[in-house]
Amino acid sequence: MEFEDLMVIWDSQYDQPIYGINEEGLHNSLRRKSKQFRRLIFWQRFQTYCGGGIMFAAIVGLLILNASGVLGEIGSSRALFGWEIAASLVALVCWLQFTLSVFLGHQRQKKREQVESTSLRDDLDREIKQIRYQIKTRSHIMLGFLPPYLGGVLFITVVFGATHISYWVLVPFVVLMIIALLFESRCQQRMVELKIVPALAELETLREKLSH
Amino acid sequence: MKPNEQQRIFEKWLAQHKGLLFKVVRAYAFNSHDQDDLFQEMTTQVWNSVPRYRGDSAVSTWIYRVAFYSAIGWSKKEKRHRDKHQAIQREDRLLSQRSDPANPQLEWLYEQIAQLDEIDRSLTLLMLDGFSYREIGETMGLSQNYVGVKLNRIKKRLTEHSKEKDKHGI
Repeated sequence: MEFEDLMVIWDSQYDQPIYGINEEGLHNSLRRKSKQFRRLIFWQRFQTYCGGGIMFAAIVGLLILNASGVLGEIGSSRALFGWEIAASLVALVCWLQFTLSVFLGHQRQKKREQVESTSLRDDLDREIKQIRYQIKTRSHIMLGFLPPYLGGVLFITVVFGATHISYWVLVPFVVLMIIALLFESRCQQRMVELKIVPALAELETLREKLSH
Repeated sequence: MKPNEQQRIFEKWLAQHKGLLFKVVRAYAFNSHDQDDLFQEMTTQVWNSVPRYRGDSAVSTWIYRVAFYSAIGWSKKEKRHRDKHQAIQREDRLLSQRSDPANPQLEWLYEQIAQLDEIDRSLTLLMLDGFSYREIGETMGLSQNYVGVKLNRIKKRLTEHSKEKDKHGI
């Protein structure tokens, strides 16, 4: 058989389509997937922004109460010392930095998704870039989460001090937070090693085939 | 883009180019469960790609590219998760095989295509669908010369195998 004969065989499939499509099933599946995706994105963002908003409101509220002199009059609490005001401001900056970095990360991701690729090679390049970014962020998760953890500890320390609660009560909180951070970091590291790096290697092999 | 508009375009694309998706399904997935799974993955990607389409290329090459990209990603994922795969319920199936699919020569051709690697499979499908070397190069992100060299090798391989098949009367 010559190549032209193969083309004739190929074209013969146009005579009768081999599959029928379950249109309703397809639309249900698309609706379900896009709903699941939207819900996931919404909750991820809601948690981060809500956490940031609550911490921002709490710290600013505490500073306002202190500045207006109300703090010293509530129950057995006292006005904040200078170092406690400074610590509260540092905690505020930590949380703002975290929320802003997450927001900017989302914006960058959105921008990357909007860039129009013109070929399969571009698609692969974009995917490889995204995976490398994921590896970078997941591998340095300790650094990413350090500011909110530090901000949280500083804020609790200030509140405990102002309300005369022993600093020893802080110890279990701090230990728990450190364990949670280490655990999260280990989980992310395993995810990178077992899933993301092999996926990247496969994509790079494919990309290599298109680079001649 | 409004969801209604996205749905309208998607339905139009699907009606006009479903044959193209079927070909990619047959070239990359080899049993009915996998074909269904891949078709679902491809249609999801085509759906997601609708707002990104700017009209710079023909819809057919756009859909081919999205389909290849999904199929290549799916094959990799499929290899990793084959053991964990859960059966799709019968009523959830998106593709149903029509009663008379048997065209032994076409089956043989798809078998030959399936033996190629993922990139060569994509090139072969585009070539058999009559796209020019320039269009194939643009779709895949390859130079025309490289496409020419690759496709000549593939053509040679396919014709040699078909001659062997004829010789042995398979």
